[in-house]
Amino acid sequence: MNVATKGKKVMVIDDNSGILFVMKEALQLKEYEVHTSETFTGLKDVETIAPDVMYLDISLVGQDGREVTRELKRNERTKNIPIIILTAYPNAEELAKEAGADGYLPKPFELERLWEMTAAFTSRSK
Amino acid sequence: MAKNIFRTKQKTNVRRFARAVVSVGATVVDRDIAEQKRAAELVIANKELAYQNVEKGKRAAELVIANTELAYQNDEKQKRAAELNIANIELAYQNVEKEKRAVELEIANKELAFQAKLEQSLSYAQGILGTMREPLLVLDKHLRIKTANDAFFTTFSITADDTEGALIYELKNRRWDTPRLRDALEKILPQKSAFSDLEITFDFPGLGSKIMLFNGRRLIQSEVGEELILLAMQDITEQTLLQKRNDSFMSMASHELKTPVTTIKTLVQILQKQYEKSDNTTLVEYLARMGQQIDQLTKLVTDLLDVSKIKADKFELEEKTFDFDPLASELVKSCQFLSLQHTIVLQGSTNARVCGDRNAIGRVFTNIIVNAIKCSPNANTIIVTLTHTKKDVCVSIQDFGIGIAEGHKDKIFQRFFQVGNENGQNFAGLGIGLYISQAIMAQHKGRIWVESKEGDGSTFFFTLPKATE
Repeated sequence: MNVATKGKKVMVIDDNSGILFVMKEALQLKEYEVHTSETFTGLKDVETIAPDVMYLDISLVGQDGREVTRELKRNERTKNIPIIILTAYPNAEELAKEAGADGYLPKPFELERLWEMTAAFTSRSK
Repeated sequence: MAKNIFRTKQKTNVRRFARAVVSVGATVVDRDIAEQKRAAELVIANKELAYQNVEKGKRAAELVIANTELAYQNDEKQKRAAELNIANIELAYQNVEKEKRAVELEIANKELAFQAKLEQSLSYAQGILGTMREPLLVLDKHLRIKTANDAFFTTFSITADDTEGALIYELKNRRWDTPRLRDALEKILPQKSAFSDLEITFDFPGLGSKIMLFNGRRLIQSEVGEELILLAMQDITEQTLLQKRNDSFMSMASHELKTPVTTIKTLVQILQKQYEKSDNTTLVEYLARMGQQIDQLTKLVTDLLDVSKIKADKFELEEKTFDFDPLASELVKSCQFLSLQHTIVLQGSTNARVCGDRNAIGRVFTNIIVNAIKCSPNANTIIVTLTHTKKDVCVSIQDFGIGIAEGHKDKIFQRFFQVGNENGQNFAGLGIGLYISQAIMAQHKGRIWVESKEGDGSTFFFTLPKATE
């Protein structure tokens, strides 16, 4: 039983269904409530879910994760949601900074690293 | 004088005659006949004498005429001698003139021989220039074009009339007037320098963008001492675009490969977590092996990506100070799991700290040790030795395998180069580990090299500067 993480909401947006599947499986092991999407469907959906942390891919179909980040950070209701850039690009840190994200997780990652990072960011939210 | 002699003789003869008349006076008759005879004889003698006198006078006159003639001839001879003297002076002058002409002719001959040699040299040089596929210019000291080859005219769609004699910067509406080319060209003659592989991109109207690689050298035309600049260039537009496409493909391919690798890796890790306490040892072992292979795959993908980053000058590393010996110890331990056959011995120490990217330096260790394992299939020991100098930490990794042929020692650090065994077979791998290792060492201001003898194994060395605390 993960008291600290139970019920905390994680939203993952990635255009690869395989990644969405493993993220969900891995995070559910720690009893997070995981919401996944292959595209960014708008601020409204994010506001509705109100995740404690978001994992966001850079290369989305027809969208750029950096632009999505900026849009979320500009919006009053979503600007405090921690956004972690999830990417296979080698310059993940640079991309995250450029987008104004709160962190980055390069693919492929160690499971322990995913859990540590998620725990760290969700523990900050109320 | 002849007259005097004649008179004297005449007087003498008269006196003799007188004395004869006196002596014989006594005898008158007898002697009258004799005397008359004598008188007749004397008359004859006198006549004879008178005749002789006349003859002598004639002779004397002839002698006078002969003397006059001789005097005239002497005068003539003197005149001739004077004329001959003048003629001699004239001949001497002409000889001097001829000698001068001979010297002038000799100089002219030398000049002609030199011109012929020069024409031969020019023809030789033009022959070489003409057959070269790469554009080439010869510039004078004012950077005006003296010669351009056919490849230059073709590459830049320009005529000889528009080129020769023009200032290089004036070509193609001054598109050649770039600060980098100016800087390089204007240093050559004053600094007696040269430059190589100067890459400049031009945007030529009608020709589009051209990426050119320049080599510049100073030339001296020794016969006349003129300083020239030889500017050779290579159009690398296509090559660069192809290289960029290759690097872009590699970058894209490795990025795309990472996504499925992430999925598989995460799934394996989830399974390992779920079954780590399971009694099903086969399942646990299989999952562990899958995990190792995925890590291997991840490393290959990362290496490919790094190669494209190195090529694009985007290979960036962290800079943190860390203890060097624990890194060596960790890596020797982890590499030991890669081979049951080999014992990896760690000896020595550096007791030093190094500033750099710990993971990247770890990759250098791993790359060399993995190569040592692969290239020594018939040996069972690999020796890792740590030493240090005042400024550097030094690592040597020795194997007892197939070694490296002399001609391959420099090539092994090239991209995609692989050492084969005696049957010409390559060992597994992409041939990029040492290329990346060298790039990592270069980024850390370190060095990497190999000492090896074919058949006797290899020892790889690398050095890194110690951290300045």
